[in-house]
Order: sequence, then C-alpha cells, then structure tokens
Amino acid sequence: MASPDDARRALEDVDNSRRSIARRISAPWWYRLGTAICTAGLFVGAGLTTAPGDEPSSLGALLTVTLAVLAPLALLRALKRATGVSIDRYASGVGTWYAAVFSLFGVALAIQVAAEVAFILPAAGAVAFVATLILEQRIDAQLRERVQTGAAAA
Amino acid sequence: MATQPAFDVVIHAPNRLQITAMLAPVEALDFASIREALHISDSVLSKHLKVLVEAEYVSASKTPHGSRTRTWLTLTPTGHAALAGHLAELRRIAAMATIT
Repeated sequence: MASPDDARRALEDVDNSRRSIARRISAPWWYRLGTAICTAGLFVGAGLTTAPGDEPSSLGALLTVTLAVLAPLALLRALKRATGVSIDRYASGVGTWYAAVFSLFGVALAIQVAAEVAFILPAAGAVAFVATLILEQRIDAQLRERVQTGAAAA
Repeated sequence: MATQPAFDVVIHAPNRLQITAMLAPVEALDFASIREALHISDSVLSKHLKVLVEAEYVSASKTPHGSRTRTWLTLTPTGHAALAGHLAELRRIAAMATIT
C-alpha cells in the first residue's frame, strides 16, 4: 500500500505524463489548412452546381462529395498517423461553428439563387475558410485541456 | 455516482499507472508516443503492456504503416474502471497527509 507521499508522487507522475500527451495534440498547419479548404470548397462546389444561367455542374457535385466526405476522412487519418494520438476532435465544442457555417451557407445559397449573383457562395466560402481555421485552433486548446485533466474519451 | 476507491496492484507500478492514465482521455495512442512520453525503451514498454493486456485493461491493434506495422493501444472499459478506482484511492491516501 502507498504512503501519502508515494500517492502524491504517483498523482504528479500522472499529471506529467498526461501533459506530455496533451502537447502532441496540436493539429499541424496542413491539417488546419486542409479542413479550411474543405469547408470553403463546399461553398464553391455548391456555387458551381447552382451557378445562375448554367446547367447544374457535375464538377460541382464531385467537388462537394470529395470535400464533404473523402478529404476530411483522409485528413483525419493522416492526422492520427502524424501525431500518434487517436482522439475524437469533433465530439464537442463545434455546435456554434456548425450553426454559423450552415447559416452562412443557407443565406449565401438563397441570395445566389434568388438574385442570380454568381460570386456570393465563393465569397461566403472565404469567410467559412477563416472560421474553420479559428475553430481548429480552439479545438486543439479544448482537447489539450481535456487530455490534461484526464476526462474520459467520448 | 462517485467512483469507489480501489487499489489495483496491476496498475500501481509507476509506468503502468502512467500508461493507463495517458490512454484514459484518448481513443488510442501509438506505441511510440507512449514510449517517448515515458522515456523508456521498447522492451520495458512491451513488458508493461503485456501485463496490462493480459489483465484486459489495454487492448492492442496493429495497422500497416508503409513496410512496417504500427501498434495502437486502447484502454478497455475494464481498464477505465480499474484506473478510476485506483486514482480515487491514491487521492484518498494523498489526502490523509493533510488530515494527520
């Protein structure tokens, strides 16, 4: 059985080892850029499929599927391999981002279709690009705190 | 419901306590990450992981990585429960120093 000093040292060791894992949880620049491009690309893809005066574009549809599904999966897989940590990045803390980005998308789409102005969705995509960069930074900070405090994985 | 303090002899070894504590808040860690965090050799880590896997506190899976394989470790539900109980016991013991 441990003495109080032994127990305290053991708990300090736990904190130290969690801190060293938490330091690994920083998405590399290519991951943040990649997810931001995926988000912005969804807007561009939607813009291509709904460009006023044109037939719906299959390129736009292909871009949308690639950026909505395939690219994020590939990015997450690469991130896991690069950091050596598998953690659910998007388990929490993304509600506000989803609400903001989907609202932005909805408004931009409605304006593009109603006003037949071609550049609205790509412009909104640029805003979503920046919002995603900010989101990924916040997620890193939240995850590091979660790992350091030892909150159980979702 | 509060976790019942329960000293766990398997987890108590310093490296094994740290291994399980690092695994608890994530889905999985790869072998190299744990080794680097603890500053121990492959063989020492393998020995501790063998004990944890035999106790069914940790599960291991291998994925191809180029021409090699990469080992990923995950804390099992049994491991989570054992760690939670052991940490609760350590906190209880550590708190005794402030009472006495």
